[in-house]
Amino acid sequence: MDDRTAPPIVGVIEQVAGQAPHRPALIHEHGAVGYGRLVAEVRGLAAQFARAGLRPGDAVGVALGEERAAIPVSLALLRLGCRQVALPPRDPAPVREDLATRLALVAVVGLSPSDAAGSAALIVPDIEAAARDDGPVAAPSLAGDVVVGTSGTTGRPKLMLADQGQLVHHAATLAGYGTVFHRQVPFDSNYGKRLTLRSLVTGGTEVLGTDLTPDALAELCARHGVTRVHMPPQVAEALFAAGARIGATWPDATRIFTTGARIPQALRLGLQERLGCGVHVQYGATEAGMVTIAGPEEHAAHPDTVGYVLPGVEVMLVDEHGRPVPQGEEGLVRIRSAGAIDRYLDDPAATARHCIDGWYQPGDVGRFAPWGALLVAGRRDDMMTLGTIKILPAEIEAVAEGFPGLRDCAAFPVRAPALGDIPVLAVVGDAGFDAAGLLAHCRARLGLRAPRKVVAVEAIPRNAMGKVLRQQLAEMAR
Amino acid sequence: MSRDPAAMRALVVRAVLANPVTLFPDEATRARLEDPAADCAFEELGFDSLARMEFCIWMQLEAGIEIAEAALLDHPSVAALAAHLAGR
Repeated sequence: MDDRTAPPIVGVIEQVAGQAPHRPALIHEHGAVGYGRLVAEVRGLAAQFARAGLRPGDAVGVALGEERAAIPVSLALLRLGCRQVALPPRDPAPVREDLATRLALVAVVGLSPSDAAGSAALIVPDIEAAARDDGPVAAPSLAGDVVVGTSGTTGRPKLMLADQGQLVHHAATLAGYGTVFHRQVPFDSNYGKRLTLRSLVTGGTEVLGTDLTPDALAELCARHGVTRVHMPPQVAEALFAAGARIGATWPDATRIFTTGARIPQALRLGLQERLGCGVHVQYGATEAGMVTIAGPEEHAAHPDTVGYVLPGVEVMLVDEHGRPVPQGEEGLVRIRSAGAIDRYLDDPAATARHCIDGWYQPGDVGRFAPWGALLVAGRRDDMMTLGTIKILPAEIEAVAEGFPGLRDCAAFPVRAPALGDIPVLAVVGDAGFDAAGLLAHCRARLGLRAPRKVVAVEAIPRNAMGKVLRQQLAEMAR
Repeated sequence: MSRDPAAMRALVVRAVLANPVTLFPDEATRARLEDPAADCAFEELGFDSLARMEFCIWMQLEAGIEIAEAALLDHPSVAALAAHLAGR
């Protein structure tokens, strides 16, 4: 279902349940939840919420850390036509209070009074009772939607609405890579929620488990025959580090999916070699959904490609004035897709900057390879200007990666009024790391675009999705 | 804030020697560079626009001293620039 005229998500899941009620929808540590049981829970919960006074269109927070409970609750709110937002218990109270006020939440589904925020009423779900409740309920609504926020690398998160079509955009594409899936991304994140919903509308089976060690993850995938596992780049790094130990356990059929414009080639190839499975990188944005997927074949053609633009998604490259650039030249990426938003919530400035003439412009700079694959060079906002020289951190990082003893690195600017942005490279290296050697290595390959200094740090600061916090690096180096 | 002129001269020499786009100076030039009583013009050291930029970058990153390329044209020798920076 790749368009917005698709039936309601819960309606599709109920169709799956009608055909295969015993097929496992969710597998958790204590057993499995079949589609029939899941649908019964969702209907019962929707009835509980309606009795608690919730009406279609109401904005409701979900503060349940337990995913086994959060998933049917989220589906019940969609079914009822409510607007939902995750209030992860791990988020600080002021962040949750701010969201509750900003979205005028009428209720919070949670377990204890401390889960409620703002003036919202607390609703405690009873899943066992819901599963037994076979009373009449209204048909699933298409109106229910989800408020999602970008984790952001600077400032306050930007909020947006994802409708049901957007939430499960390209569900069949992902299912094509494997229908028994697992994610090391929380359900209360936008990315995690979309993965779960996509699995459910395609009749897939999700194996639940949070914060697993590499060994536990390998064991889980082997035990349940997981064919597709999604993880942020830092989990992929941890797997790679443990690869020599868990390589024998990791099932060859378990494909790894991670996200980002550029996953180091050494990490990708190393993972494939140590675990014996394919590594796929999704490129997209919370605002635009999935745009491309690059797997081993695409990466063999070019190590830095993000792959081919998915069917139904358009990518145009433009200059600073919004004019298309000639074929093969670098430009700002613009995305048009049924999975993309057309505005942010109460943020006209961000809307004007990113949502332009029906396109979403994430701020990435890219070009098309002659064979049609997309290459993303980095973020326009990260571009450094030293005198008249334009430098993207990604090109420096690509040259540095693989240098002996280098474990992690990120380039960032030191701003000098008379000169512009001086590129500096933060590194996490093994003991006795040869910083001068790395500097010379970069200079020989990058010339004037080379970093002018290498600074050693304990760890590269990143946000939850693995994006480098360059501002913070610049402050650390000060 | 004024600084010690001799220390500033030594710093300028370090910046000259660390420059990634100029050739390492010959022995005689090197001796003059390191002699506090002698001087050496940037032109003799092969400084062009790029070398000036790299010099300024080094001063910024390694010494925290903000300096524009034009200062090397206005004060075109090691001693002259050191005196300018020390007196700034």
